Amino acid sequence: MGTDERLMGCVMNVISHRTGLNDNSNLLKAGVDSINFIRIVVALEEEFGIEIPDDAIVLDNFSSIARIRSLVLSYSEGAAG
Amino acid sequence: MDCCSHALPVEVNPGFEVECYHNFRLSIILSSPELRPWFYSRFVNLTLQSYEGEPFPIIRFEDHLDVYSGVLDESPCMSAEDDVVNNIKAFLKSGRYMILYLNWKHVPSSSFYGGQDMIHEALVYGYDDRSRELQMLAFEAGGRGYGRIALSYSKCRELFGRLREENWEKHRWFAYYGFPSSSVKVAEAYPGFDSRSLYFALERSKAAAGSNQMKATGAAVNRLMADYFRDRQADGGMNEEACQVWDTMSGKTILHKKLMLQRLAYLQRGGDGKRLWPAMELYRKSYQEALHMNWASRRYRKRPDPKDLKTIADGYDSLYTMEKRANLLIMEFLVHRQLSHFER
Repeated sequence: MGTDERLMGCVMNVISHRTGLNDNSNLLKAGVDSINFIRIVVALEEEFGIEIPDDAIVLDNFSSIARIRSLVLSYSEGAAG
Repeated sequence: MDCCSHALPVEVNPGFEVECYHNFRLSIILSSPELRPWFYSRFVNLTLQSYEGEPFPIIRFEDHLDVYSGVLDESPCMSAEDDVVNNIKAFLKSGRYMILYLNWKHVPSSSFYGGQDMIHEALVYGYDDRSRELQMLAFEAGGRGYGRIALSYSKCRELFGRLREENWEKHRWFAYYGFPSSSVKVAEAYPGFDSRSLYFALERSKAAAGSNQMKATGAAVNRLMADYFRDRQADGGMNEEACQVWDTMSGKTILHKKLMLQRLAYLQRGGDGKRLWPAMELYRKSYQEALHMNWASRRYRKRPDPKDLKTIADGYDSLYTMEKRANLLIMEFLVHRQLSHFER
């Protein structure tokens, strides 16, 4: 499975498989609240074997799939995936 | 090892930045895969000492430096006449790391450079005669919270000399933390995983703490923290001084959940792992909750809103419930494993 599919899997599991999301959809409007975005953080850490530092755990970084991808890629150097 | 340089292995990021004296020793221990089982049976409980008079409750791991007895051979070194660099090189060549205290306000690559006195240890793990530099792990230097830096031989000599002249009396109470310098080596016959140590730590974690108490061990720490945040909400908020310590204490809460998950993963690999799934799930949720509370803490510090203090208090209540249950499940697993030797 590619990075994008794994990443979408993490997000979709948390926001109950909503459809019609694209890279730039506003996830905050699609139901990502403060609890859900932490669940996405944990799911990404497990799936990609990365550790997202506290400073990066801010809602802005999880407001769209594109921003999440960029975040994951920046912390994935050397990690599986 | 060539004639000009030598470096001992280190784990650059053991994750204990919030308890620095552990981070240095764990940088040595976690560089050896065979010592990980020892690690997984330690650092089980957080404790909270009385916080009367403190700006914020001080949470720390129950294990102090004596936890390394038997796994690290650590002894003070260097007499007043010795050259510090030659001494360090001799120890490194013999396979011993050096813990060295310096005043970081004199180190240009330190974030404390030019400021107030900051006497702190570093872990020296290598040297290079060609560049005439020591390689060390240090805090808040080289642009990182904790990581590798190089320090020239001449600077090391200068700083260690100044330490003796300027900071000795005030910091002599850190002697058992390794001040001013100690050499460290993994013990010849190091211990492995100690299920007894783990079991009794979990048993201590069950100790109850009433709301009128001010110290706790294990799961009950969360209960006191919940009370603390509820009180601050009732008082009208947190003061500036408390906010400075708060971030570090949140970091310890998160670190504890991460460690518990690593420990559980290790136990699962040892067989009969399915029995640990419910405990694993509870600690997964605890980790998630701890991250969320940390996020709410940061939001509060940026824009104080009493609702966040309630969120955090509720979060600690959840941690208390989940960890109490999870720890009992782990104890049950350990008991089952212990008795299975007789039941075969």
